[in-house]
Amino acid sequence: MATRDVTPGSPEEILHWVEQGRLAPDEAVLWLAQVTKATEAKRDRTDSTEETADAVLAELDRMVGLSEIKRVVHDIRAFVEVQALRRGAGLQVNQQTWHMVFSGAPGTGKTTVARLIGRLFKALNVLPKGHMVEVERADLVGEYIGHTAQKTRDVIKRALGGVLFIDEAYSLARGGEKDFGKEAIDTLVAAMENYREELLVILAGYPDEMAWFLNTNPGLMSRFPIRLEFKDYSAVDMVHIARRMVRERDYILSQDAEQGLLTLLSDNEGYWHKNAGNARMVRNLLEHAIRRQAVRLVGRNIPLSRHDLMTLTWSDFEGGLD
Amino acid sequence: MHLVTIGKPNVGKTLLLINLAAYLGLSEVRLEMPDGEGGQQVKRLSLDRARRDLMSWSAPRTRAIQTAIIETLVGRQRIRLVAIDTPGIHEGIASHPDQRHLVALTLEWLIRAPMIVHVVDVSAVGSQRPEAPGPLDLALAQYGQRLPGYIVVANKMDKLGSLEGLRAIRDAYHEVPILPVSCITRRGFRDLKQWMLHMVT
Ligand SMILES: Nc1nc2c(ncn2[C@@H]2O[C@H](COP(=O)(O)OP(=O)(O)OP(=O)(O)O)[C@@H](O)[C@H]2O)c(=O)[nH]1
Ligand SMILES: [Mg+2]
Repeated sequence: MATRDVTPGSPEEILHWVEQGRLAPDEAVLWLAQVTKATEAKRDRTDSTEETADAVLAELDRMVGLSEIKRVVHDIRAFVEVQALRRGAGLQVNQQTWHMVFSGAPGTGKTTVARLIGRLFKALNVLPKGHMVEVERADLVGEYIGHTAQKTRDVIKRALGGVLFIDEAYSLARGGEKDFGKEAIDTLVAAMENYREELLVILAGYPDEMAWFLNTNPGLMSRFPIRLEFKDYSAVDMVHIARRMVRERDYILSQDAEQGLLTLLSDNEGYWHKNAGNARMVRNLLEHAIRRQAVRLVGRNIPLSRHDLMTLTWSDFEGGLD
Repeated sequence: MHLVTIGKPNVGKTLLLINLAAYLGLSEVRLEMPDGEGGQQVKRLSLDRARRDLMSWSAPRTRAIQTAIIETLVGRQRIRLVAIDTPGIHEGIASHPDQRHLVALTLEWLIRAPMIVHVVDVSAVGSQRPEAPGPLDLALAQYGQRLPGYIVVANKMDKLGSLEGLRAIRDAYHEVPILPVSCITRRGFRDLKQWMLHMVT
């Protein structure tokens, strides 16, 4: 899974990765330390009460771009809270299902938003745990009849109480009628009925493929009423993302680097590069620049200041897209 | 209350539990073991028998998660501990899926059990043997840092070179309790018992 630069978000996921051979035991323990510490810190911060919806939404609002998505999520929160108040007042409430479809290219924030939604729904008492289990076709589909149902049920069990995030979900319909992907979908739909209050399913993938997937499976349409579109980032957004990424790594962008990046990204916006418009492209550019900066600096014979060590100039970026 | 022993292979996790049971005055252990397909098998073993059956002399022996119920009276107080003995974890990603599954199950106990006894073989520090402390032990110590129920048992203190090993471990693991122990001479068992009582009550 070299192309999926994700980090495990829950103990369940870490253990699953150990089983898959994606993590060595020592790495797994360090992740566990981090993840369980994070949840404890959260608990401590609010003094044994839970994380608030406001805190989660603030985190969402701090993400770059995604204005439409932020709006929808705020609306969802309002709706859930009003429904709770209505229930409290003895009024009729809507039996709302919250399963979602996220369409967008990789690197446009789908996974991050899905995690936040899990936490939000936990804060709003819609989900008991709010953790997220991230899977793809290979985690659900087996090799022989019955195997798929078993695998899918296992995955669902891990996700109960939280979010099941299925990446590139359209690939479940890839092989047509005879494919075991169909069995996975059926098992999933059954589980969604059985665990109404305990499971939120998010299907994710490229926009065109997801549209095709839903059209060929009309039964799914009504079960996934909430659709979020993750648009490619604009050039300005991407420079914004670049600024944050370098800050996290203790670097800064020189003026000419920012300007150069903006030009590079606007000239090419959305057109020719396979990663155009997503955060992965920014990350690749930065990694390239960090290496180039190192080469540039060792080549100099004068003492280096802290500022030198931190600054990425445009010359470090040039030619960094391939 | 659950107590889990965890650590690299052959460090003495199983012997520690058996001898601790003896030290607490038990004459037998009640073991619950998975019987292959789903169910549980319950066995009563005398401690001598347990020592013989459950431990390894050269090859790693603990191949499944074993549960031993330790019930004893301390003073007027009855304590009941469910001790989980886990298979030793090798460094690196295991090539066999079953082995990886066992590692995952073991780590699950690490998360769940309120009492974690992390056993290291201090006499093997610096050696190439599977029981030599390594990155996994360091990671476990880091995991345990903030947990009240975590303790490092520096085992095999009766062996040559263990003092240097103990010192090295004390330098490397920060802010965790480290208890020198020998399952042979029973050094450290008193402290271990104290710790357990403190945890249970
Ligand atoms: N000298 C000495 N040997 C010990 C001590 N503790 C355990 N041993 C020996 O170390 C070997 C391994 O002991 P076990 O208890 O089977 O080790 P384990 O950690 O359970 O091993 P796995 O189940 O394979 O992970 C045995 O030969 C024990 O006799 C000790 O304190 N001193
Ligand atoms: Mg053992």
